[in-house]
Parts: sequence; structure tokens; C-alpha cells
Amino acid sequence: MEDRVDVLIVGAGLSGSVAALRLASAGFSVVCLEQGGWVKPETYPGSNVDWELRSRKRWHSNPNVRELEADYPVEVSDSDVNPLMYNAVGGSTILYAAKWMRLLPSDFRVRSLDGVADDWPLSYEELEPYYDLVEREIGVSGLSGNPAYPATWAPPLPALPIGRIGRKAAEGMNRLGWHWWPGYNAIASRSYGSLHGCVRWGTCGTGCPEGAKASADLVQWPVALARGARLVIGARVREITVNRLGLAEGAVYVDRGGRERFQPARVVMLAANGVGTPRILLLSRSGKFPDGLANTSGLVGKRLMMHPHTSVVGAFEDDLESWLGPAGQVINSMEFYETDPRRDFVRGAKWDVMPTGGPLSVNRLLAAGGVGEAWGERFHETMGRFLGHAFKWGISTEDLPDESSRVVLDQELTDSDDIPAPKLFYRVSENTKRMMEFNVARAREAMEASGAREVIALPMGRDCGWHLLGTARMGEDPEKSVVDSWGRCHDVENLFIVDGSVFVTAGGVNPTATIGALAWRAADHLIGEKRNQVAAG
Amino acid sequence: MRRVLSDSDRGIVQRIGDVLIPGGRGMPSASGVDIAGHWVEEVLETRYDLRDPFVQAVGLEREGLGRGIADVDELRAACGDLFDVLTTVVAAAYFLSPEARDAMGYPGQRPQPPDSLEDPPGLVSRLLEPVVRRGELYRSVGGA
Repeated sequence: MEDRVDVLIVGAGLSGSVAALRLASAGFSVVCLEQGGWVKPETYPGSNVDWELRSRKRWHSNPNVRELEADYPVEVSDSDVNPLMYNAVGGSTILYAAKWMRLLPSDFRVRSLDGVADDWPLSYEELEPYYDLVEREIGVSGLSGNPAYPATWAPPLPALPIGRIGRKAAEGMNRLGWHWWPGYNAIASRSYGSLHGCVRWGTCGTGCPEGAKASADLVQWPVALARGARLVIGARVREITVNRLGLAEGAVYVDRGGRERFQPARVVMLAANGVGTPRILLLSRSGKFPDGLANTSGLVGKRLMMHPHTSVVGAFEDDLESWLGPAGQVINSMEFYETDPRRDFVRGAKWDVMPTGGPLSVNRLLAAGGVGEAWGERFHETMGRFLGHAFKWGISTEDLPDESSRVVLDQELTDSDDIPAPKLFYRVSENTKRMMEFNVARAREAMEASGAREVIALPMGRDCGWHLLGTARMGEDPEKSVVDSWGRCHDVENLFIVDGSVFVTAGGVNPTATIGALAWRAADHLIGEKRNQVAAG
Repeated sequence: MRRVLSDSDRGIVQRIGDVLIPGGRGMPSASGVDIAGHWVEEVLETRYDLRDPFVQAVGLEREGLGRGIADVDELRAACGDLFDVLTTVVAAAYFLSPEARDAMGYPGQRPQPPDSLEDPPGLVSRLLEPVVRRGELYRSVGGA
């Protein structure tokens, strides 16, 4: 058995990394168990000629496609959307597009404002200082003064260039009188700490060959390790054990040699994403917690939200060199984000402009869009119309929590260590379908206003579940929530959850900023309450 | 590198390639860049997972040789679920060819630091003027 540490963190993605760095900096002994390993930036495929081909297997964001040893399978036959993630030091920040968005003030008050879902137990104003801290640490590029947000948001780095595609999109939005703003990205617009300035490789989604995209392996871990945190890679957690009082004692994990080990800790912190965390809780059944750890409310695994996403592609006469990066968000729009009672749905969507990539991506996009001329006699003419001439408005829709959307343990499927795999039940709601239809129609108008000669609305693809949220929600009432506003489990005083599982509602924006801010806030709370913290004896 | 395709299969792949990607408009065809001679093998070296289904798709086409599949719809019907694998491999192989990339005007992904010609000073501010002029867009939660 290993020595008992102050805090055991499960998962070395952004939330676990932020917490590890804070806690180690405050003098806590910290061990982090990560089922994946380190990914060497020199292995990222973006600078290779076959980058697009590699991105569809080894570097795919869907673990069921990638099938690496570090991955666990996810049963998705009852889900409209595939969950996306990456299992490694840095977690999904290795492959994310680094679109950095804060939730809006209204996102924390959905029940009060719109009469649906629930309010969060904290406000935008309470979280704002932590957004600031994590943005300074990670190096967010963006422009202040955005009228879609409180005026106090001021990113630490200048915005990335909007380039030809951003300009084209912005001109259309201006013709319609619609909101847009240069994109916020966790991509350095100039050298910042360990990050280099972006040189527009355009391959952000498979790791940045330049080291310009902020990922937790580059930003947080080198510092956390220097400050004494210990990282155990290849460590797949099977169970969080509890003592007779119901306090967490530590984690049982399997190492890459197949050996079962135990890491004891005074406090356990789960940071394994909105699928991995409920999986571990549901695996951790005991006499005291027969339905899974911290699950007295019955809500562990329930209320899964994944932000169904679609895109509208426009092709233009002009040469836009639209394979250039950043392949984060070039500009974004919050024009249709807030509820409008004139529409037949509540809540809204965030839009962002992205490039369309190289020829294989364009070809696959045309095939997905049902463009009949993708092959045969008109192949070259069609490719010529789109390659370098097209960009897309991506539409990220808010989906509301629904207890029937959930993560459970599959009865048959297991990972390579024979640990039951998660199974998802998830259907796109009628509200979301109406929201998507409305926004696709508006995005078509935006493309036409920009002068597109052709517009294609892509059907929602299954591989869009980047944002795994809501499966261990926070709240003040232990009967209606799993954790309190600090991420501490109502049922287990020394067990914290710091990943996207704790979201009460999903908002319609990319959640990484909020996940990082919540993790920082939870770690600060733990540091401040150190003397009062209960631990297993 | 061990070859995946036999000599006869290579002929079939060249022919399938030309059905999907014929030449014209100053662009080389699939066989014109010799996808079966080199590039398909490169693709299948990188994407081991596509080997078996691709060979299976080529086998289906081999069986249909007598019918002389000549257009995309026929090919799609003959291959069924394997059409996606077939087209992925053929397209990826074609796009790996420097000759095809040059003809398309695609330089590949490469570093290209932003310059002032792309975003001239003041451009973004000018474009944003109407956005800023319209004022706050977010919803107040005061009293909520």
C-alpha cells in the first residue's frame, strides 16, 4: 500500500490539473491517478502530410474509434450522440479546439428566468474571480468589451487574427445587424509562459505542433510536479473505498502490469469527466452505498447533457485559404443565445466560425452534406468550389437536463481490465431539435448575407459529444443534488467532484472555462477549510 | 513495407479510382497519380484498420468485373456499407499525391504566422463598431 496523501485526484485532465497545481502550491501532498500516459507533442500528427487520415483513427476524439489501451469503451447504442474525450495527461485538452467561453449570468438562473431546469447554487459574479485566475494561468486570447458579456471580462492575451474567413463572416453578420465578436481561445496569440505564439497550423484538434494551444500537460503539470505533486500514469481506478463511517479512504486502481493497487488519501477528488466520474461512483458500491457512492439522491449518472452540435457551411467565390488556423473559434456570435419568448423553444445556441480544413476534411464534409457531386465527373469542380473557399458556422445548442438521459454501467461490456464500461442513454430533446432548426435557418441567412454562393446545412453528426455535463449535479438540497456548490459530495464529506459532472445546466457554450474555474474554486475552498476537513481515520 | 494489394487488385483500384476521381479541368485522375502503385499502400500502412474492409470492397468489385462498373451510383450499390471505406481510402490516397495537391493549389498544413495584410490595423475595430453601438446583449439577472 502506498503512503496516505492529503488529496488523491482521479484524472489528469484540466480540472484535475488545476486542482493539483493549487493544492500542491499550498503544501498539500497530492497524488493524481491517470489511466492514460504522457503524449509527446512531437507525435502530434498536424505537421504530417497524412494528418487528416490519422485524425480519423489514432487521433480521433471518439474513444470507441480510437481504441487505445488507455481508453475504455462506451456503449452508445441507446444514445443519439457519441461521447468524445481523450485519456491522457492533459485529458481532453490534448484534442480540444480550445474554444474558451464563459457561461453567461443567465445560465446560472435558468429556473428563475425561464421556468425550466434549475438555478445553480452560485452566480456568475461568484465564479468570475476564478474565471480570471484560470484564464491568466492558461493564457486565453481574446478581445475585451464584448457586449454579450459583462464588461469586466478582459482576457490576458490579444485576440487571434480573424483572417479572411472571420472577416467574411463578420461582414454578413453586420449586414443583418447581428452580434459577433473575435473568438476567445486558449491558444496563445503570442508567447505566453510555456506556450509559443500561434502560427496557424490549423490542426488544433489533433494537438498543436507549435505548442501554442494550452493543454493541461503543457501548462499545469510541469509546475504541479515541480511543486511536489505526484502523477501516476497508466492507473485505472476501479473503486473508491469507504470506511464504516462512510468516508472515502482512497482508490483501488489497476496499473499497466495488471496489478491491483490501493492509494489511500485523506480527501479524494474525482476529475474523470461527466462519463468517467459517474462510472467510478456507480462502481463503488458498498453496504453503506448500495446504489453507488454518493448516490443517496439517485442522481449519479443522471441528467447527462452533451450539447448537440451542427454546422452550416458556406462556399465563396473568394480564395479564403480556409485550411489555415486557428481551428478554434475565429469569431463567435451570441445573437441567439438568450431565450426569446417569440420562439418555440427556450434557451439558445452559441455560434462560432471555423475553417474547413484540408482536402480530405472537405471531401468528407461534402459527403456528409449529401452533395451528390462529391464523386465522379464533377469531383474536381466541386472540390474547387469548396477547398480553400469555405468556412462553417458551428452551432452549439443548450440541452436541458433530463433524468432519462443518463450514464449507467453496462451489464456486458468491459474495458481491458474487465471493469464494467459505461452505457449511455441519451436522446436529443424536442426543445433542442426546434432550437437547432431555428439556428440552422438563421446561419443559412448569415452565410447568404456574407455572399456565399452555396450553403450546406450539415445534419447533426453523432460525434459531437465533446461536453460531458451534469451527471453529478451541484445544489444545496442533498435530495436533489450530488455535491454542494464547492463540489463536496453531500453524502461523503471528504469526496469532491471537480469536473463537468457538477454542472446544473449546460449553458450553450464550450464548458472548459467553467470546469477550470469550478476546479480552482473547489481547491481554494479545500485549502481554506483545511483545519475543518473531515478525513477517514 | 509489405504490399497489401496484389497486382490484379491494383488494376481494379486504379479503375475504381478513376470512376470516383476522373481527370479533367487540368486535374490528374486517380490513376494519373498512380494511387494504387504507391499512395493506397501508404494509406493502408497508416490506417491498419482500413485494410480488411478495403480489400473486401475491392474483392466485391473484382466479382463485378464482368459487369464493368462505370459510374459512381453503380459502385455505391455494389459496395453497400463498404462504399465509405472505399472512398475514404481512394480520396486519402489521391490527396497524398504531391501532384494532386499542387494541381488543387493546396500547400498542406504549415506554419503561416499572421501578418498585417490579413488583419490590417483598425480593421476589426471598424467592423465591430455597429456591434458595440447596439449595446449590451446579455440578459440581466438582477433580482432573479
